[in-house]
Amino acid sequence: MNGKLEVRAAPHLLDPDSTAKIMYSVLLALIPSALAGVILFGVHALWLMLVSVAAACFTEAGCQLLLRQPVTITDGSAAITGLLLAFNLPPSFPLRYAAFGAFMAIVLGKQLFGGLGENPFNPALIGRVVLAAAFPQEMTTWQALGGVMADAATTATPLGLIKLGQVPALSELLLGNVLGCIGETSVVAILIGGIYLLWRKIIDWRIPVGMLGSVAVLSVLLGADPLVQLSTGGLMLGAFFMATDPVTSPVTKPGRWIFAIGAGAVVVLIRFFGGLPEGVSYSILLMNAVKPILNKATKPRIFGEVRGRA
Amino acid sequence: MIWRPFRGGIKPKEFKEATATKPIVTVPLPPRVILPLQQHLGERANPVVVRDELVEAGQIIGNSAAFISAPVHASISGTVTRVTAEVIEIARRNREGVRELSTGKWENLDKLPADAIRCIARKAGIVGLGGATFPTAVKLTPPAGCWVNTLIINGCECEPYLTADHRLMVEQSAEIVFGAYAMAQALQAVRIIFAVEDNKPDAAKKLAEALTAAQLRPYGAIIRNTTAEVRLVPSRYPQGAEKQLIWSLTGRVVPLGGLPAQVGVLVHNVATAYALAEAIRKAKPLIERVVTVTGPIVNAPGNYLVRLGTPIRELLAYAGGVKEPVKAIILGGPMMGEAQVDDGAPVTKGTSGVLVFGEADLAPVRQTRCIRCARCVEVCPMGLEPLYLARLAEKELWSEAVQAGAAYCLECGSCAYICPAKRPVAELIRRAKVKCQEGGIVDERQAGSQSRTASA
Ligand code: SF4
Ligand code: SF4
Repeated sequence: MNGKLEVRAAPHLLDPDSTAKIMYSVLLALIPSALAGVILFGVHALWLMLVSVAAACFTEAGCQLLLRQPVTITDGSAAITGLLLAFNLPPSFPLRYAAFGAFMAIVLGKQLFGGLGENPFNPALIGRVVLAAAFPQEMTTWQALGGVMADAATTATPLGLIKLGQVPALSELLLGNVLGCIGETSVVAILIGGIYLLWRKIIDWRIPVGMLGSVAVLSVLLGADPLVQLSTGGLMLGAFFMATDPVTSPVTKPGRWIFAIGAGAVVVLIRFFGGLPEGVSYSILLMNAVKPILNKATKPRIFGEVRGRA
Repeated sequence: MIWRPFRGGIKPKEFKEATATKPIVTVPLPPRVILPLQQHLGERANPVVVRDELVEAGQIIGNSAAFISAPVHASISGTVTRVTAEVIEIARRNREGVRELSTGKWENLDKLPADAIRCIARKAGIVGLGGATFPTAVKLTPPAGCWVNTLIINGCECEPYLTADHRLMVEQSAEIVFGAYAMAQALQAVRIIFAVEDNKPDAAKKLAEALTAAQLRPYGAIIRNTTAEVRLVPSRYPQGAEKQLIWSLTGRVVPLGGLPAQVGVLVHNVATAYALAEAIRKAKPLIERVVTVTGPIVNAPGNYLVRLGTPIRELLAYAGGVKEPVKAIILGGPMMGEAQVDDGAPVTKGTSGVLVFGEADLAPVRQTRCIRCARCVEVCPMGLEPLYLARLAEKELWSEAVQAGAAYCLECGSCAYICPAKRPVAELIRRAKVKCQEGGIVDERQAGSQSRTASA
């Protein structure tokens, strides 16, 4: 026997999936939407994505160096935060503001709470909320600097138009030929990525199904066209890529149902009765906040446990 | 009859092809054996031989008066070269024979009352050979007030890589069936279910044939008084876990902290049934067992019938040695087996497999923070939340871990298998379990049923 044997704890067989593989699969799933964003809104959209991803990665590495922790930007999670934040920005958003948003997303949304796995809120959404508060003007200016949408006749998003009584054509909504944040308009692109993640079992189908389902049902009840409601605003992006963030969604299946249905309901409430045209970010953040309660309330029953025994 | 899926579980790659079709090969007697005096759960046996004493294979060399214990027999004939409180070593003298048990040889179970069967199981040193190593005689003594009407013979062998039970079922189905009837006789059970995972249809077929053949044998009234059937269950890990198997086959739920006997069921491994049959019909003590020796770098992976106490080194050499330098040796299956520090450890009653890995099979594990993906929650067959339990264990909050259910962990390893962050979740929970047992911390849920469990 030459050399010492390695003594690891059981199990000695591990599933091939890893945190990095999961994160890279999510990045891969975001590529169709990224392409759609560039095609629809021009090169500036690409710059927004690159700047935001780079800023997120640098910030993460910087925080970890400061805290003397191992630098883990290769796990891909910071890049996802950066990219999702960019997807949530208007097409003409200034690059330096985007970098600031990514910085805040990582610092406020993630590292402040202890890094990956510890953050209660989706970091990209934290970044977006910070930007909406800091730059309300820029965050609601809808103008494509290039791409297919450069010569759009309007400067309003579909949800804005609906509030004015003009409903855009469904085909345009599906392709994303409308104004909006760079990663959220093309329903088709989001679905391609989303279905890939569902197939890879990286996201739980209960979350998009629950969230989209509750929006559809409530829209019908309120007399709106459910398909238009589903394919406008940030709903698709949120339902497939942001509400599904494992860190900030419940760990139990019933908890995830409630989480998803609740998020959908809040979206409808904001859209129909709130002052804002869109509420996906806030609805997900709100449900993020409720998550710990949901986890507690839906604890699985231990096999063989008799509940409520005297 | 419907099959009920148990909660959670995983489907790891099986890696059984290398050995599933390899007939059991008898390994020649080793020159030296190392026999630990604790190869079972319960009291350790005390040595009853001294150094330089000549012993015969099959002779008792360690014994205990405690109820929950099992004797240890010399597995080869020779000279005792070392005796400590933990282990006895024997150097072989060229003698082939095996001393028989004093209990006689029996074909007709009518002549054997329950106590006689338990006595044979005890004298033969038989313990649960699936890996649990709980003394069989004790298990065949249900606690007062419990009638075990259903006996499950566990041939699931859900651990990847292992095929020892599979081969035993294919090659020794008649003995297994006899052993099962003997167990039923001891328990007065009225129903026997042989459970086989559906990746082993050949084993199920052999058992079914053996069951039919047994009807014509002079085994006694027990044949007519029990119904026996072979049931295929889907291959999913850990289907062979006691409580999960009982649920799948009978729909009965063993209460937390309780025993299967409380719901009228007992589960014994196929290899245990085989050992009991050998003891009853051939008066053979438990001095050998079938071990799957496998792994990517083993030259002749296979299923080997080997004397207990044979050093792994010896067994491995017999299996053709290795192609590359050995990097890890695991005794048992890959999910629950224990990694060894060297190749000097012996095969014991609980050794179902020897897995040998080389450099290439031991990729460095890159651990990350828990990403709360909940895959561990999804796969835990006990309905625990491994991520939280592991976190409490990490913070050494032992008592909190127990209140959260750590004591009910099966140590099946499913959670750690599935974890994308590659966190040693199962190991952390196991640590919490051990700490609490040492510290006497019990879960509130279980406090009420303590007296019952203690008596078992
Ligand atoms: S090792 Fe324990 S906690 Fe992990 S899956 Fe198995 S029973 Fe559940
Ligand atoms: S499987 Fe691993 S990463 Fe996922 S929740 Fe469990 S412990 Fe955390």
